[in-house]
Amino acid sequence: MKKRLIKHRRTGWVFMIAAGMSAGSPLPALAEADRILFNRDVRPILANNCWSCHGPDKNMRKAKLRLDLREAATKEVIVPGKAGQSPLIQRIFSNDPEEVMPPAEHRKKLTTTQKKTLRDWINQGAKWQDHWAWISPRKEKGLPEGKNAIDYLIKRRLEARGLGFSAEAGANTLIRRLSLDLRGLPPTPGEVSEFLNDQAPGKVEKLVDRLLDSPAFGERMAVYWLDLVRYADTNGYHADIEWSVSPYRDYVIDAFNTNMPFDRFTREQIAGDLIPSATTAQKVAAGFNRLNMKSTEFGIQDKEYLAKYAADRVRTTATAWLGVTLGCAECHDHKFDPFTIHDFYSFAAFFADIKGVGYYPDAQKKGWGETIQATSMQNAQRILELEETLKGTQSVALLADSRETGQAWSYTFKEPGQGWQRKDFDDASWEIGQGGFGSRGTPHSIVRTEWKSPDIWMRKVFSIGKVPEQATLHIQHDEEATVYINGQKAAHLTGFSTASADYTARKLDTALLKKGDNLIAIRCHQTGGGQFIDAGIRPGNFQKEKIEQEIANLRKTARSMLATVSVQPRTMRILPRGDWMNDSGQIVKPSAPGFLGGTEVAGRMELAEWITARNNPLTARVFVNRLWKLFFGTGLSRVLDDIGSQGEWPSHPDLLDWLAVEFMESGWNVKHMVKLMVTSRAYVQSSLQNEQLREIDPKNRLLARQSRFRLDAEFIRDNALSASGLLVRQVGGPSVKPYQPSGYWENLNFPRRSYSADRGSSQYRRGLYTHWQRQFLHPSLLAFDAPSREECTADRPRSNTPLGALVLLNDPTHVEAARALAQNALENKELTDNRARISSMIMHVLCRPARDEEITVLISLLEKHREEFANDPESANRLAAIGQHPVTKDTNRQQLAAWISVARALLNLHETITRN
Amino acid sequence: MKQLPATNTRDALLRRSFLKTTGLGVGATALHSLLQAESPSGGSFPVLPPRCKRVIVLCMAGGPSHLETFDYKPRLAKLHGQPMPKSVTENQQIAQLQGQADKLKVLGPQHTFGRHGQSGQEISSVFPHLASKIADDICIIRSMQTEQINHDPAHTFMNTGSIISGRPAMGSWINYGLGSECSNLPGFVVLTSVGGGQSQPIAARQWHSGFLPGQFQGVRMRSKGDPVLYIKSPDGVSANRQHDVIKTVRRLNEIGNETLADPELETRISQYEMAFRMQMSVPELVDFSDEPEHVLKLYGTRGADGTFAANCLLARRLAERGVRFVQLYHRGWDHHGNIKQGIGHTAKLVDQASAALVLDLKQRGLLDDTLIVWGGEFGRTPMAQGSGRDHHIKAFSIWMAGGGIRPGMTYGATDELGYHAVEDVVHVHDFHATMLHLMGINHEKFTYRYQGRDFRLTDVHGRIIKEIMA
Repeated sequence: MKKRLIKHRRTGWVFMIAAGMSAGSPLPALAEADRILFNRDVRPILANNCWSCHGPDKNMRKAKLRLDLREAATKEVIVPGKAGQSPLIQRIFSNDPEEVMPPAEHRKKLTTTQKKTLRDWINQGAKWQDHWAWISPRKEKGLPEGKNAIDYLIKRRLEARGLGFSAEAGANTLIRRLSLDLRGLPPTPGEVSEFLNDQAPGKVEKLVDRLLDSPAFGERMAVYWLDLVRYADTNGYHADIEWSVSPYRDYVIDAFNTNMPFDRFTREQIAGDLIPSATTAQKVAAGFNRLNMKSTEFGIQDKEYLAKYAADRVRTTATAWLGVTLGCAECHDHKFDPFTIHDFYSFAAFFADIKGVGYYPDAQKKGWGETIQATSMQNAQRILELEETLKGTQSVALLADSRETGQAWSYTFKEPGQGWQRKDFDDASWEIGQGGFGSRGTPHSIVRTEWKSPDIWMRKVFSIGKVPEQATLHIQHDEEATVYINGQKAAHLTGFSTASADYTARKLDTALLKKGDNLIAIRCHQTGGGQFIDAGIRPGNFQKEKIEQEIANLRKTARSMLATVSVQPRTMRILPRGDWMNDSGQIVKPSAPGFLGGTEVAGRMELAEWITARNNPLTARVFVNRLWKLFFGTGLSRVLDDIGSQGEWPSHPDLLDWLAVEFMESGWNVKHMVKLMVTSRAYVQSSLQNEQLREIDPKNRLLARQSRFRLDAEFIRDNALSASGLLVRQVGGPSVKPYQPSGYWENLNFPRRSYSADRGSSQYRRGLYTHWQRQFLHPSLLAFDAPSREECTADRPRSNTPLGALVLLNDPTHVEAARALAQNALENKELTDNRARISSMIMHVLCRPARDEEITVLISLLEKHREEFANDPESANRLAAIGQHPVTKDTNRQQLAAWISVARALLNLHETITRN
Repeated sequence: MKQLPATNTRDALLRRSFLKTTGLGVGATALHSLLQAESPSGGSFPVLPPRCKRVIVLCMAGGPSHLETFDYKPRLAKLHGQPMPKSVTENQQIAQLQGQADKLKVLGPQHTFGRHGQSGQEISSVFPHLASKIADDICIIRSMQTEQINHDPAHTFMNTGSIISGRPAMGSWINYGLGSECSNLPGFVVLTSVGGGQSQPIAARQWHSGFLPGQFQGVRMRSKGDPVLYIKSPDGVSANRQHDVIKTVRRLNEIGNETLADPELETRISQYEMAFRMQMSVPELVDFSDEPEHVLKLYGTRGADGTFAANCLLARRLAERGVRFVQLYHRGWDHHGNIKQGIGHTAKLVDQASAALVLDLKQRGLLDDTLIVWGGEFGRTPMAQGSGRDHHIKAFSIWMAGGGIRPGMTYGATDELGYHAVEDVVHVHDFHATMLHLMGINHEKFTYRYQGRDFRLTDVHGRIIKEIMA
């Protein structure tokens, strides 16, 4: 190319004017629609067709010509306002194969429309804009507030095309959509009918609030986030052995559930370990930096693998937060975006302080470097509480309380005179009654003597053989109680302890006790609600062992987590052409990409700050764009992993910017953004496509309707388990192993291993807890496009394959779910005929009433198979025996088998795995 | 399923792509999505008349020593036991021999070589069958080079042309490019066997479709358990009952679609039908009872027992049924120690069946349009690692046969120590470019847009090795 361009330069191609071009003619006033926008119309043409040879990469640049910068381009080949005099136009319209651009042998060709666009753009003045994503987003002025802005901006585009929103989706569709989108779970039939019966205004908002409060929301959001940070349970390379990183997964769930602001979420993951006096949770979060694949393959080069890990961290961090392909600048300057190879390695330098090696020898035994022990947030909280209350004693009571058997006390409801608590006080006029005393119905109380007045005074003499070293008062009080031993005040308790069955344990000063007879006197005062009083005394720290045991058990739930430990940073050099053996490159310091305002800084904490700075044009846009995809099926800019010049000009740039700014202004409030999106008019509309829309907008980019799309792999599982009632809703914990075909791991080695499926409740956990074996991801997840998480994944494809069909048809998980679904219908006494049973199953699976025709089709399957299984009990028994879930003892297996066929058909429906 | 002539298939696919506006269906191809993607280049493939229609890769996993198989180095024998010249090894990547730069010693060839066939191909004595039966059918390439010196990334590079996970395997690329010719089996099938040496692991990444649509992923067929995952109907569900369920699903889907009009549904229905056809056809595929005795004998197998021999016969059966890309892994070539016995042992497990596959395809007239590739992810050092050899990336040997390959020739050469490929070097990217070329695909125009970039199997490299073409 170079040669030819020089030749033409010499022949003065600059002066050639192609015939028929109206160069230099005065511009007519252009309507906005005719005005060519550089970023929308021109940039994609230049980026895609020209920049690989005339762009940012200086090593690939031909003829020293740049078409990615206005100054350079207008100096050389563009004459603004005068297409006819612009060599660029002349070259692209040329018929001469020696002259035409892109060159004849180039893979790219321009269409006539594209050529015309370039010509018109130059005639309109060749106005240049920075790439939209590099410019800080701004809210357009004068827009309505909140979700109304969303609807306003979408409607504006629709109306320009003569369109409007579709009708609102029916209530059944809407609650299922919201439930799947916000929890990854279908609504229960109870939830459906409650929503349908709710006539109050704002019922959608109420539902959304409830769904956002559900712990399942965090689980749902984690599925999306874990793909980005390539979270997995194995090391990925070669031996692919298991490691423990599940505390990180639970941190993510928790962060979404507690609506942790996204800037904090970012800071804790990238630099949590550097936060002064970092909490365990923050250290767990920083484990993000250790989730990359690592190798223990004997014979690898430490240095090579350090380079691989560094590059992975750049790719992951840049894609996950910034949505840019900085990873492409590992070997050379980026071909389309202004990222230089220097930018790549200075970004890598942010992570150079993370302690670690390239080669982890014998990791099967020695592990993967630094770890911390991490308990879940709830368990850690509980341990703190228990430690607070660790005060107690030992077995045989000195004074028994009335829990087991009622103890006799003297008591009075009338205020006694002075000294009532003393030993020498005469209580002969008092009544004698069995404890405890109180009003019936008070929670956690055993009332043997009724006490309804505001006050009670009680006395009891008890005898002890020996004063113990320690003693504990056990008391259940509602409300304020004062306890005296031998006339001395021993305890004063306010409030009430009846919220729990456990009596409050208080250390008792043993100096108050003496050998022989002792007197305990109690006054209890109550102001309202239930009332109750009972007490006893035990030697030693009665509860101590129990509490200690509980603490020990809770501590046992602590899991190891790969930890980020900051050390003296490794020297980071530019590796020419990405070659790790080449030490000739310049040494670089941590810095964000220069053209985005990055300067040399200390390290990861500054990186986190830069990522979430208000003037960072990328982070907020990328996040809200991906959120939009979760709830509308496609991002406003469709390419989720590249917001750079090869990405897509957004369908609604104004809306994307509005959302991005709103996100930042709200304090990076994730639930706020989710709520805005899912309560908008755009969201609640029907997803039905009519002829007109099919014609005008087949890909639904104008959003004149909602989208319909297949559920993610994990939610396909969750949906089936939920509809069948098998789902175990425990949040967090170590990863679990659902049924998996035997021998699936036979090509793993070092060590060879076999898979054993979990038994009991672990078998029925949500899909996101599935053991994530990078090299052999569970086949049911793989069949529905869950990524191996070897690399950061921003966008899962949604394939539709025979392998997916085989999973739904034959995976024991789905067969067992079908059985449970069938069993539930058969055992429900309210369902008296087959129509009712089928209707109920359809409600569980599809969350809507059954259609007559569907019932007819299913009844005919039922009857055919009932007859067949009746004649083939052996097969029926085998089918009914699939899965661990027990078959009720007296179930008729032949009957059940036929119903399993019905349930299988339902679980295999397109509608079942589609969110619409 | 009888295979269709390639041109008809393409025509049919082309028609289909115009008629069908829905997502990627069974037969959908890159051509289809290209048209959808409003690509101005209109680049369709094949752009060249294809020389072959399918590929069978016999992957000798672990890294067979070229020095004991196809690259005879008498000079090595002379220098046996001598220190390895530093000038050769300096600044070169070393795997397990790291830190022993001063102690490297030459290991002479551990097996003898002979010239075979009319073409006089030089082949080691560990391959009596290859030597005596197909020497004149194969093209030996002695000048292969790769970039990755450890098994896992080297396989990834060999299969995807990249060391970064998440890129499509070559079998996925080819199915994406050409579509499937088979309506009851996947277009990309993987088989594995072990024996003869240390069994290095093989990750499913090696046959993953990466960023290409999931329907192009490789499907592993297994010798134990169900041949394809979830291929068996649930216990107690006969084929008829399974079909009843699938028919009911279809009927209910259609009823639902009266109001939904979801274009994706058409694909869903066809995938269920494909799934059922697979359920019906796979048992028949792996049942060798219809193979005559002389064929079983030719391969040296009795049935689908998971041996390399059985897998070769299965590969032929898959090729006959129109499966586009079959890849056999034999995990047993990692001979760090005792290479003399080890390589003899492993070779014995693959020699007869490799030859048989070529002969059998030839006698059925299938060799002409089937490309066979035999080789590992890298070679082994001329230096000793005890009694074995370490990983080596600067030179290794493979052979190719069939569809469009010039038979009975040797291409490329290494230096006299077998360390560097020095003549007609064939890089992994060149191998990919050539393979695509043989299938009628211009590797430079064969792209898929992902993360804003048009990715190729050959990245930005790849030389078509015209010299080895018939």
